Amino acid sequence: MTMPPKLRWALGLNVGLVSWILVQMGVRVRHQLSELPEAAGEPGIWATLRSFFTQHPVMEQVYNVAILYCVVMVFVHLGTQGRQQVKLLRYLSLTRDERSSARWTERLDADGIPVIVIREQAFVAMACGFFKRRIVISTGALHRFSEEEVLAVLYHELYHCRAYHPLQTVVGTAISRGMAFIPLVRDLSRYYEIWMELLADRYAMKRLNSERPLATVLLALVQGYVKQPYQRELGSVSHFAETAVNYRMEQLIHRHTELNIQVTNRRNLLISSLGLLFMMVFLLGYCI
Amino acid sequence: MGIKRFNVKEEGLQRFFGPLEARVMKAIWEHQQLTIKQVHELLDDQAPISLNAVMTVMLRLTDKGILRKETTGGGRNRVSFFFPVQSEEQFIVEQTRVVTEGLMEDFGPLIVNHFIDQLDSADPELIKKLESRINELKKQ
Repeated sequence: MTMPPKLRWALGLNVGLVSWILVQMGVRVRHQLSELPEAAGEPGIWATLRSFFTQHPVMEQVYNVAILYCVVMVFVHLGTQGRQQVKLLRYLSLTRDERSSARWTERLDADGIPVIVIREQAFVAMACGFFKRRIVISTGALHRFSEEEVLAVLYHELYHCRAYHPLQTVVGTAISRGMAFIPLVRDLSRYYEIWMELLADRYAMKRLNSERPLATVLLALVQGYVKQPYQRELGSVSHFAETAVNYRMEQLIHRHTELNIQVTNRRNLLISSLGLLFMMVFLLGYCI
Repeated sequence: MGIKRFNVKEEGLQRFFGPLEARVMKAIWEHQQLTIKQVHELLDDQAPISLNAVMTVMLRLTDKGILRKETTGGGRNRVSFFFPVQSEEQFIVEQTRVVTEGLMEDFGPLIVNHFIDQLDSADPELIKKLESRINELKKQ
C-alpha cells in the first residue's frame, strides 16, 4: 500500500525533529565533555556526572536532567522489550499447534513469514518479531470466524510484518518516551501508528477485494468487548476517541472517503515549541 | 475474580488452579451446591484426603470470589452450602480472556500490531453504522 502524502509529511517531520533533537543533545554533551575538569585519581564517568550536575547553572542542569532522562528511558524501554520478547517466545513455544501452524503458513503463502497458531480460546491475532517476523493467531480466532474472515485478519497482520511495523513501533515508542518533554514527537508517532492500522486494513481489503470479511471480524470483536459489563463502568458513555479502532471503523464504513486524522493539538504544539526554543537557546548561547 | 496463577503447560482447570483446587471446583460444578463435608466425602472416595485440607481450599476459593457461601438454619441445624459464582464454561472463557489481555498488556509495545487494540474506546455510533454497512454489503 502506498503512503498518503500527509503521512509521508508526518513521518518526515518526525524523523527530522528527532534527528534535530538528538544532534542538539549530542552537541550539548560534547560541549560539556570538553569543559570537563581534570580530576586526578577519580574515575572518568564520576567526574563527568559530577561536573554535569554540580558545576553549571540551574537551567543547564535542567537540560542535563532532560538528556539523562531521555537516555535512561530509551534503555529501560529497549531492555523491557528484550525481556518481553523472551517471555513471548516461551509462551508461543508452549502453546503452539504445529499442524495447524503448518496448514495456515501454507495457506497464506507469505514469502517465509510463518503463521503460528497457538492453543488459546480467546481471540489473539498479532504480528511480532523485530527481524524474524511472525504472525500469531489463536485457535479461538480460527474457530470463531470463517476462512475468509480469518484470511482478512491474517492479511492485516501480514502487512504489519512486511513493513517491519513491530520493530518500528518499539523504536518509535522508546524515542517518544525518552523525548516526553517534546509531546509533538509522541503525537507524530501516534499518528503514524493509526495509519499503520489503516494501511494494514486497506491491504486486507485489497487482497480479498471486499471490506465485508474484515468489517465482520472487527464488529464482532468490538461488540463482544462492549457487552462485557466488567470492562465498562455502568452508565458510562463513550464518545469518539482519537484511537485507531474508531478510524478503522470509519474507513470500513466510508471506504473511499479521505479520513481527517488529527496530528496534534495546540497545547502540545506550544509545549513542544517552548521545549525546542529552550534547547536552541543553549545551543546558540553556550555551545557555539 | 482473583486468579493470579496461570500454567500454560497444564490443560483445562489446572491452568488456573492448583491440583486440589481443581478437584474441588470440578465437584462443585458437577453438583452445583455442596457443603464442605460433602465435598470431602466425594474427594476422599477418589483418594484419601483430610477434611481440614478441603475446608482450607474451599474457604480460600470463597475469599477469591470463585465460590459463594450461604448459611442456613441456626444452632445445631446450621449448614453452609458453597455455590460456584460462574459456570465452568463462563469461568474458563473469562479467565482465558483476562490472561490473554494481561499478556497483550505485557507484550503491548512489542506486539504492537495486535488486531484488537484499544477496543474500550470504540464509539457506539460508529459501531451501529458499521453494522448497517455490513448488512448493506450482505445484500449486494
